[in-house]
Amino acid sequence: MTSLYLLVIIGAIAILSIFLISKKIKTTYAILITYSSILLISTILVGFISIEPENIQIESEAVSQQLNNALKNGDRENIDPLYVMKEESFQIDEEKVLTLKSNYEDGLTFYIERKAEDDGQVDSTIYHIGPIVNGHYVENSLEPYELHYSENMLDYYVNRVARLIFHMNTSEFTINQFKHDDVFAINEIHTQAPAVYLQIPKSLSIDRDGDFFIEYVK
Amino acid sequence: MSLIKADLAEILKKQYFFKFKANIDVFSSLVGLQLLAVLFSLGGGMYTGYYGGGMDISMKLYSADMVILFTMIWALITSVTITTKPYRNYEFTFVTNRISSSLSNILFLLTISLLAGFTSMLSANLIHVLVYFFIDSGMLIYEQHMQDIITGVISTSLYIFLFCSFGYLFGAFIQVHKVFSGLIPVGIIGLLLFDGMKLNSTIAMFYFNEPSLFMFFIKTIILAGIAFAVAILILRNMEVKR
Repeated sequence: MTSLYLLVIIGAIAILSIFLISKKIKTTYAILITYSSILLISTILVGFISIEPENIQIESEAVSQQLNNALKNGDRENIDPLYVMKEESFQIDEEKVLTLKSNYEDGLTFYIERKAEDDGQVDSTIYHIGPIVNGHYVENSLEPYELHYSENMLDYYVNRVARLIFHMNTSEFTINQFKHDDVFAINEIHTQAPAVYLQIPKSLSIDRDGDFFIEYVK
Repeated sequence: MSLIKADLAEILKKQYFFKFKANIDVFSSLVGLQLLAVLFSLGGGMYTGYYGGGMDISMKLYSADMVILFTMIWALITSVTITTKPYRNYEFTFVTNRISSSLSNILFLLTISLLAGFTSMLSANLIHVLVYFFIDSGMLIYEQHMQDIITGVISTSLYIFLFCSFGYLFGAFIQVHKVFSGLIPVGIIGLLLFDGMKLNSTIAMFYFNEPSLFMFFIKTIILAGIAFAVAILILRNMEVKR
């Protein structure tokens, strides 16, 4: 919408400029018209190449807290689907012990919920609050995390380093002067360690191999 | 002696359009300077990085601050230039006096301030597009409200117009005597150094810390008005053609 407004304004300025200047196109006019056109195209283009951040400012800490509480209590219906990274199910053999393993060492938590029956299947959901940049949730589509099941072991691992580059516009000093925002608090990236929610058969025991947390859902 | 009574408004209108055409080349230098500033702005401003948990995140902020600063310098130079002899000599094809000449100059400077303010603000979009396509194609998070853009155009134009008025005053002093071309910059720098930048911080507090756009508008118009009035007084006392 903003681009549309700007398009109209620039169009009006362009028409006015063309009206004011003579009909004979000299070099200066050509430069001016070309530059105006470039600015106009950039203004339109920036609307297409930029991503739309969520309109609502997200309180990073509050979102993390809510997610953790919901998982701890098994209250997954209330979790925003935005934070669901991957859902997978694994058929397990007739083992009595499942070992959880991970090379992720930055506060990973496994939430474990026991099913009512022994169906020989582990259902997993990876939750991850993707980067929250300056209070805006940025869609997490990189999926650098994987779950792999083999030989009585469920391995959660980081399959690669996902590189995210953000370019963000910031208001010019001639705008900031009249806004009451804290300009020094503008640059903030918040990430939350991922959480793996496992629904396991009733009589399956859990063992661990790695430095992570395990929480049993009440 | 002519029997036709000269109408100031009509003379001003004619002179304004004439000056707009005659001084159209100032826009070439504006485009050049703004493009140079855009080039310097491609490096970005504040940087934030995060590494861990399989993620390598980097974020850079971009704005048109440098373009605005360059445009202010351009405004200063342009307004000094139009007080110089070759530019003043253009006017002698018209019925003119010092006041009508200065008033049409002020109108011309006001127009270029508005146009320069507008292009300065829009150049931010050009910076984003260039960064996205030619520097680093990451995710571009763009958030700008219409109200901010309007505020930006108005305040940037006011800043540029203020610099125009300073430049015009400076140019008028130079017309009185060439010694002012060295004396005024040295005097300003000397004064700033002498009082430990107190004057600098006072001016900054008065302008850069003004939170109301309306008050900023009033302050700018008053200060620019004083600068132009002094310049007109200086130029009025000069001979018609010198």
